[in-house]
Amino acid sequence: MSAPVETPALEVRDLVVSYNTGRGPLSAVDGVSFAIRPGETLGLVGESGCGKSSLAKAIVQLVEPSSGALKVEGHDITGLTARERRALRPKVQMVFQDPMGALDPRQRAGTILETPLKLNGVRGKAERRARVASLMEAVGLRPEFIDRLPHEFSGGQRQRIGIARALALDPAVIVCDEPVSALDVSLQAQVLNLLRKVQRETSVAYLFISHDLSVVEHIADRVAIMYLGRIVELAPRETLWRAPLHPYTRALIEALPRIDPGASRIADKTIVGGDLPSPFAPPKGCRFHTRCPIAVARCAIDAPALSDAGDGHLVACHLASGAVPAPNASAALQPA
Amino acid sequence: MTRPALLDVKDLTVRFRTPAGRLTAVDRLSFDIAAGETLAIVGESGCGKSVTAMALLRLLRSPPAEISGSHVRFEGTDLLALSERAMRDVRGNRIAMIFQDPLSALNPVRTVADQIIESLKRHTGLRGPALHRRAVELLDLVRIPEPQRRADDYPHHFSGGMRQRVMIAIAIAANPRLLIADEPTTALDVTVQAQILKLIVSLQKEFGMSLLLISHDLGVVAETADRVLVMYAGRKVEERPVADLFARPLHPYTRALMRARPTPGLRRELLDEIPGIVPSLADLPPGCAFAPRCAHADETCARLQPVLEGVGGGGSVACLHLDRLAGEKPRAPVLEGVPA
Repeated sequence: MSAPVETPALEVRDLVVSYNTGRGPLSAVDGVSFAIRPGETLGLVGESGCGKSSLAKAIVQLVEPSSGALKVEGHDITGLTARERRALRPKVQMVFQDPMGALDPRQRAGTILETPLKLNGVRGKAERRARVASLMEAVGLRPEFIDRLPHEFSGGQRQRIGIARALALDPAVIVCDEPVSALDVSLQAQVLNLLRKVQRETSVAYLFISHDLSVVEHIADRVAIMYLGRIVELAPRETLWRAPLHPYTRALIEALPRIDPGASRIADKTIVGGDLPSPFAPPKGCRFHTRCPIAVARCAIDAPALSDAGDGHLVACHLASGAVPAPNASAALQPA
Repeated sequence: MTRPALLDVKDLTVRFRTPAGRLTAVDRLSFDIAAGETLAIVGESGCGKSVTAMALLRLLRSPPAEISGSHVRFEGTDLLALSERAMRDVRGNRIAMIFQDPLSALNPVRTVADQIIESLKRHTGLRGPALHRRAVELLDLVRIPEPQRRADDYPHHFSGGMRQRVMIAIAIAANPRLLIADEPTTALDVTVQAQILKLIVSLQKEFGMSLLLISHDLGVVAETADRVLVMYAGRKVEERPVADLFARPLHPYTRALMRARPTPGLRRELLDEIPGIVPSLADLPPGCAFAPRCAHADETCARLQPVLEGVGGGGSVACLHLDRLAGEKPRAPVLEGVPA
């Protein structure tokens, strides 16, 4: 697509999130850059401790990034005053993994959806009521549910409320943090379909975070793979699945359970060994080299830069053939 | 089935007394597992799969639970008829179990070696220094690096995956004949999940154990099981050899589950939703429990409870429309794009 230059819904550049902990400093996110265009879904996959939740928190301004830039519809939200930032906050919303924990158990569905409207200057009560009704309709909740408490809903319905609340203020981007991980398969499908319908109607951008590559492969347009605070590969969904370049991505795909009992049995699979190293002391060089089946001496010394392998396929691996270390790899971070 | 069954369960029923009334969590469930075989029970939350596992080992408190059934025969003995004392010798010894959350199953204030030794003392004749040696051997067997050094660590020193390995070491300490694994990898990361499953399967082979795998994940089941039993609302709806089930699922619920799941390499704009929600066990419809959500259901399904019928290959399916479904041309098998 050679569309005219379009302002990304969300742009993250060289973002670093570090914490001072009892065990010393921890760089949870260590220089991450990407952009998501309106109506696009970027999937973000990684295992526990890779920094995906810290990244999400920084984007919705629950934690302060140590450095880097965060732009929402072109407006940099880092370095703003609290007041200026508050004006931009409705533009970035979040859907959480555990809808029960994310909803006030004593608030009725109607109140949960009305509160953000009230707080953001929708003055007329009738206007708020109408908006709440249309939000409920948009996520497939019956109008009579308006007076129910969270515990009176099923898990899938609670997640619908979470999505409706995120939509209340017409956000540019919704960070979905493992939104279907706590749900059974049949409800998972309902929520994934709802997210897609909502996006088609509103052109909201999603950053869809999950540990489950098969869910991300379904929902995302492009996919980023994160390992110990860094993006190791970023590519269009189809490319990532068919032609992964990073050994970690390949390991994730190989580990994914497949429904093909004739050809794919756990006993015959080659699984990457070892545990994730401690994020407090990430390995030098390429952070994956301690578990990498093809690592060479150089991998323990030099950290590979995220480089363009063509067609918007970025990879950080010394051994990925075709990846050209581009000094301006950041140009490729723009949405295709 | 030519091999004699190690475990033979007939009409197992588990009811709970609750304030909402008496509910049936497991309804006349029958299955068997041969020596060395892997049977997977798969289903969504509340289908009764975990309750089944707990009931086999009689780990449910009674009341509120009431377990009944024709028999749960293990190595020829009916476990339902055993005294509590005799049952204790079966648990952890002939049948061992591992759980989803190893941290809550391990004792936080004792070293992992101590916890393995406890199992060895109870179930083997080993005594003295041989106990510690065997504990270290077991840690090595479950591929814990530097087992000699790690033996004296406490559970919180281990990662989630390593803790599950410790649980497995405790479980196999007594050389059980049957290992029950209840969602053993659900809380783990993808690569660690695969490591643990591979470990369980290789130990199963090495020790000649049977495996009862409880899982919600069709992919895990497809890669691990010999036979698969699908449960819905406390009842068996389909049981088939693994290859048959995934090549050609017959029960509408099994089919719906497979189509609701995202299939890598086969992207669809929308997934096939299963409408509605699982019915409350306290208030099941009189006929087929899946009927209210089923695309094939008619008014007979709402009235009559289907019985299990044999479908060849040792399989069985409980659906009133089995003839029609079995006669349908199978949908193209679910293709999984395998990257080169």
